[in-house]
Amino acid sequence: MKNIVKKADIILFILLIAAAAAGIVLMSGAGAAGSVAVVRMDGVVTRQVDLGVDQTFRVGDVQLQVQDGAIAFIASDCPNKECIHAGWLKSPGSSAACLPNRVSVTVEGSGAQQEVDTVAE
Amino acid sequence: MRSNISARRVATLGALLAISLVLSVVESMLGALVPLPIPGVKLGLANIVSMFILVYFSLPSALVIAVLRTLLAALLTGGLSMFLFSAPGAILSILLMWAALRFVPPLSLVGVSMVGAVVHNLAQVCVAVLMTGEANLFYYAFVLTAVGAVSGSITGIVAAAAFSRAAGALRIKERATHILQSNQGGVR
Repeated sequence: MKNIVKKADIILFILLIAAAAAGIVLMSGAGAAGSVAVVRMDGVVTRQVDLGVDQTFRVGDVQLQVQDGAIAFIASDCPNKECIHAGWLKSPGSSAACLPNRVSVTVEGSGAQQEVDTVAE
Repeated sequence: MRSNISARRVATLGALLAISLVLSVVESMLGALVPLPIPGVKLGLANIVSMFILVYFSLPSALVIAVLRTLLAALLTGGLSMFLFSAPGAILSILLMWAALRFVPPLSLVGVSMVGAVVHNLAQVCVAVLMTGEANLFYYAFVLTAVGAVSGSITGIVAAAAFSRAAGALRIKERATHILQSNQGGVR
């Protein structure tokens, strides 16, 4: 093992992992700037929200809030409040839904991809 | 005499092509058995053969064998889209591994293999973005960089442990001259 792996290999490994970790942290943190959250009601897009602008708005009987590049359900009249428990969504592809009110919200990469559905999980 | 040498070379490269094809088919069968959380994560076993050809033969041989391998593997498992998806990664990773072998003597085969795996994964992300038009997939580039570093070290350690024995079994006497002599962690 010792004569197979050289010092330069270990340095390269650490550099690659560090670059990957830095990229992942940056993308999940600041990556939300310029992201768009798509709000659907009954499956129809009712609103596209820029996550760079803090705001609070109402869709049907639920209330959503945008803050620090993330979006969350903050109030709803549904019984178990699953949507509120889903918490803050910021990375592209993440989504939450309030099934009783048939409202869903999905974070998408940037304005350019508004027409493209996200990849199925 | 000369034709003798080249017949042997063709036969050996053919055997290596068969080995790399088996490795990549086995790997895709393993991938179907064990579902992974991130799409496109593979160990890159066939890359070991590409590296072997780079070390003991030449850059053009490695490129030809890799393209044939991705073509045959695509015919066996997927289809033409599989070939378009995997060939650019295979070609780019071989070019970069050759450059690492040639110009970065401090790296052993483990480091060279890491370079190959990471470049292969990044090229696949680029192809996926081009195919789907979904720029969000670039997010995977970082995850796949880390994955490539890990899978590349594993295959690199296997390569370093196996190369001199494999060369002996194939009756290959010496390494290609284009590889720097100092750059031989574990091969001797």
